[in-house]
Amino acid sequence: MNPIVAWLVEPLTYPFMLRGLWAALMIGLVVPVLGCYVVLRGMAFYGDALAHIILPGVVVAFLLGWPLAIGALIVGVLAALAIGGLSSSTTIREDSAIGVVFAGALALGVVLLSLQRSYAVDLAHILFGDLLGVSPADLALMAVLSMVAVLTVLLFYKEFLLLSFDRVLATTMQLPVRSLNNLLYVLLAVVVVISIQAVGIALVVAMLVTPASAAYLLTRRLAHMMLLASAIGAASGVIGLYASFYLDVASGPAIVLVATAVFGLVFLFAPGRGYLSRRIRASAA
Amino acid sequence: MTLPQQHDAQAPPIRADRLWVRYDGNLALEAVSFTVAAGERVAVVGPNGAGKTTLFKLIAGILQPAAGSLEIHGHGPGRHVCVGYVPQRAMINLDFPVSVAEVVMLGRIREIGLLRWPRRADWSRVDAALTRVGMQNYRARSIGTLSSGQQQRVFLAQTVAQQADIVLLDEPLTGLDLPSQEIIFEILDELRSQPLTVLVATHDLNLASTHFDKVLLLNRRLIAYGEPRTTITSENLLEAYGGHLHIFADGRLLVDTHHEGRQ
Repeated sequence: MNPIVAWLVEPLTYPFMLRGLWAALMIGLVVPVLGCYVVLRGMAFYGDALAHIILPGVVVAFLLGWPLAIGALIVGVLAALAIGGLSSSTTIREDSAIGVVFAGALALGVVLLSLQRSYAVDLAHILFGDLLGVSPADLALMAVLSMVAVLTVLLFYKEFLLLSFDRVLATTMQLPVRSLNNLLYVLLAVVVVISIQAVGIALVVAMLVTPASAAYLLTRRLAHMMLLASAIGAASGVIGLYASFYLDVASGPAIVLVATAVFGLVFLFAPGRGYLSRRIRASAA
Repeated sequence: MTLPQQHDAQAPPIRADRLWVRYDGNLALEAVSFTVAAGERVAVVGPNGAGKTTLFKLIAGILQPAAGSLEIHGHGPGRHVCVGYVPQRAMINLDFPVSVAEVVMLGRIREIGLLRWPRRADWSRVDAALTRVGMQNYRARSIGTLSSGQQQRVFLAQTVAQQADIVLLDEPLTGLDLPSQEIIFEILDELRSQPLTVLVATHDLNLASTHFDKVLLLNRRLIAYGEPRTTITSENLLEAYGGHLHIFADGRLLVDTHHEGRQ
C-alpha cells in the first residue's frame, strides 16, 4: 500500500478512532454554522457561559448513569430560556447576570463531581473532551441533534438573518421576535452539547467562534460565511484528530489548535480584510 | 404570528391624538396631535432629543404611548406591515455580511411567510424595487461597500418591496452630498404616484421648506404643523431651537446642531 494512504488509513482500523472521526466531522460541520450567529451578534461570552452552565447537568447524568448528552441538553435548554428571559428584565446587566449564573453552575458541577472517587480523570474528560470515548449511541444522538440544528437554520434562515441584521425591521414587520430569539438560544444550547463531547466544556467556545471568525474575514455573505465556517471546522476536526493520534496529544485541544492556526493564517493573509492586505492598502494610500 | 390589519379606506394614514410618551421617567412627547393625509410628504423638524425618533417608533409600532391614541389607516399601530421605517444609519450594523438584494428581500419577509425561502417571483420583486431606486446594478454587492446615499436608496427599495404605503425616514439626508440628496427626493417624487405618505426627520430647514408639503415642528410638544411658509417662521423656530438658530441676511436658516445637543 502507498505509504501516505497507509498513514491515513491506519488510525481508522481502530473502531474508536473511526467513531471519533465521524464525531469530529459532524461537530466541525455543524457547530460553526450556529457559530456564525454568535460571531455576528457578539455573543461569544454567552456561548462560553452556556457551555459551563451545562456542567452540573453533565455531572448529574454521569452520576445517574444516563447518557451525558441528555443531562447537558436539559440543563442547556433551561439555561438558554432563562437567560433569554433574564435579558428582557433590566434590573441587572445581561453580561453580569450571565457571569453570576455561569460561575455558580460551574462550581456546583465541580462540587457534585468531587463527590466521586475518580474525580480528576472524569473532570479532565468533561473539561477538555474525550473524542475517542464516543460510543455508537453518542454518535447516533449527535447525528440527530446535528440534523435538527441544520434543518432549523435552513427553515428560519431569513428570519434569523433579519433578527441578527436589523432587529428594528423585525419588530416593525411584527415577526415573533422573542420566540425566534429563544429558538436561536435553544439551538445554541444544542450545538454546545454536541461539541462538549469533542472539545470539552472549556473549549466549546472555540468551535463556536474560531471557524466563524475566520470565515467572516473571507466573505461578505452570511450563507457563504456558514459554508466556509463549516469547511474550516470539518478540516480542523479531521486534521486535529490525526495530529492527536500520531503525536499522542489530547484530541480536543489538538482540534482547537488547528482551528486557531487556520484563523491565524486567514487573519494575516485574507484578501481584502486580512492584516497584510490592509497594511499594503494603508501604505499605498 | 398575527395577521396584518385591514385598512379602513376612509381613515387618514396617520392620526395622532394627544400622544404622551415617557422614557426612563422623562417625557419624550407631550400631548402631540396631528393628522397626515394620504400622499403627503411631511418634514419632521426639531432639535436633538425633540422626540422625532420616538414619534417614528410609535408609528412603526415599536413603542407604545403612555397615553393618547394613534391610528394607522384607522386602526392601532402594530399589526401593520404597511409602515416602512428606515432608522438612522448608526442604528444599522453595516458590517453585516448581507447583500443588497438580501436587504431588499427582507422587506418581503411577511409576504414570503415563515418556513419558506424566497421564490423567483420574490426576487423579481426585489429587482423591480432596486430598479425604481436606480440600484439594480448593485444587487450582489454587500451593503457595507456602498456609499451612504446608495445605502439610503437600498433601504428605500426595501420599503418598496415591502409595499409600504407609509414610509418613515429618520435623518436620511445627514451626511449626504447635495446630488445624493436630490436623488433621494427624485425617487420620493416618483414613488409618490402610489400614493405614498412619507415622513422625513431632518435638521435641514431649507430642504424642509422647499421639498415638503408640510412641516411638523417638534420639541417634545408640537410647536407648529402645516405648510412650510406658515410653520417655518422665526417665532416658531425660536420656540423650538432657542438660541441655536441663526438667520442669515438672505433669509437662509441655520440651526447650530453642533451645540444644541449638549444643553
